[in-house]
Amino acid sequence: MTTHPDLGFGIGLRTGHYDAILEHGTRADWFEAISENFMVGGGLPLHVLERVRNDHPLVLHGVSLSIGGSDPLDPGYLRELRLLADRFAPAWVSDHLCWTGVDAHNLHDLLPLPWTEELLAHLIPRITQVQDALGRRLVLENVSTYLSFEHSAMPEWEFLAELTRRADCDLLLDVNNVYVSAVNHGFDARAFVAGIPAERVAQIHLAGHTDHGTHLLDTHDAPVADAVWDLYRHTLGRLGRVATLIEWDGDVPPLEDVENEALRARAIADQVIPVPGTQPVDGATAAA
Amino acid sequence: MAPLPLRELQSRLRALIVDPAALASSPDALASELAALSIRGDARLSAVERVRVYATMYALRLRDALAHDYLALRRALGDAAFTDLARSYVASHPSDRPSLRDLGRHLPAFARRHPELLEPWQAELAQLEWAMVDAFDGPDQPVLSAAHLEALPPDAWPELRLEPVGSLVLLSCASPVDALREQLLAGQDVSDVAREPVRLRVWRQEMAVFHRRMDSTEAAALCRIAAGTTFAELCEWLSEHADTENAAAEALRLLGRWIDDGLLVAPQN
Repeated sequence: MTTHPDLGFGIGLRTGHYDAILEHGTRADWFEAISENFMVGGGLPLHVLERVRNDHPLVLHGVSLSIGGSDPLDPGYLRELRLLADRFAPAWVSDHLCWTGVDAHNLHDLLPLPWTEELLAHLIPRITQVQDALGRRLVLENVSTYLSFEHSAMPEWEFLAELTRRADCDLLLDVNNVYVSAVNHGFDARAFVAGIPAERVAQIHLAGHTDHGTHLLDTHDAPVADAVWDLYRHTLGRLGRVATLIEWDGDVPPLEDVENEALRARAIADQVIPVPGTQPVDGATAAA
Repeated sequence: MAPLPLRELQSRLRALIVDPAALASSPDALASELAALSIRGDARLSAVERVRVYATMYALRLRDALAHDYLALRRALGDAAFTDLARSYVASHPSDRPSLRDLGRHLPAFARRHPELLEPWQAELAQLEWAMVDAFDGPDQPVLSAAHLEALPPDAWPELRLEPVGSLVLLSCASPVDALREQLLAGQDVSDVAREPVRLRVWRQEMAVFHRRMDSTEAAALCRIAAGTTFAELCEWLSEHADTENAAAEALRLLGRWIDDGLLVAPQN
């Protein structure tokens, strides 16, 4: 079981929801903010983040750390991230187990890595550097992938177990990404969930994807798919209650719709792991 | 075949993702490159198709980021021409910053250098739109108020140096791009753009970004303020150049407008 604080059921903080959140508040328990969007001088983004942070737990979630990249880590980026973290006191700071660019060219994508001993040896000192720079443990997320490398020496979940043990970092388990990659590469999503170290999982992500027939694409522009809800239910059965967050980045609907996805996650969690003294809410039935 | 070192693997995979021609090279050459990268295909997707997923997303993601910041310019060009512009621009200015927010910062200059891609008024429109992006999340600063000035001793006025807020950008355009932008965002077609010089200032007041036209006197006065001129020097310049009989009154009129708009930084205590 995870030893991280259970923040409840949150949503990603997105520009299109700023007005609604400032005016009406939210039914979500907590927020996740994309770190890079708030590495700015001032204006509305930081104003909104301050307001949100006054009332809710917050997690900072980066997209450009490039922990698996082969360029040196950017010390200026780490300094800015540390300043942001010191100012807003997030529950934790996360990014992705991937590379985002090389030769000083940022592709702004979460690119796949080969699961090798060479990569482990490459990642461990980089994670240590980040954790030292931030003064806190780093949380890394599994990404959706569309290609894999023949020289990978182990499945991704074994790599994650080894990495978290040797680098002393934590995991953000993106259940949608597990499902998308499992379909795209033909592995068993439940084997992935069974193989990761439960005590390292700080957080879960849920999001929608798009079925292109030949492959699934992690688009974050739709409700969570039924198969992903099923995998989430299974995951909670193994991990227990874990802070869960809904991501929605494309064709972003009204705040209420994203909140409803978070409430559906709560209903499933209440059904799988009832909170003592409470009754599961009706939404659990709909989500089954 | 021995696996490539990580850096070489990433450099060569990047080349396939960012260059549309790379995935259109000869099948044998491409197969050889994918084998060197040890990228595996299967019955679901070939190795080429798997790389193409990333290549397609790369082009779309960066185009969409530019379209977010240059909404009126996209409407002016139409989707196809804007996509061509984005492709050329990104090839010339690949992202080297952590945030996509910075991707479009070179586009106004790129537009001026490429008249074959954009008309001059469209390059000016890009300049206006980028000034608004920059103002949106620029540094917060306390602004000068009337109370600050009322507290100023009379003998301090001549040497008073006013400082514009960091978000302020002054633009001099050959076409009325502010009005054209409004038309485009309202879904109206824009054609036969007339030459009608306008001077604009773009700035943020509290959380909102504004742009406003200026007459030549205000534009020149703001330039002088930004260059560090004193209040006495501003009055002297107005007495020589502005169409007014009372330079001090004109200076106070401008000052009042700038204070109302939150254009000036409060003095540091």
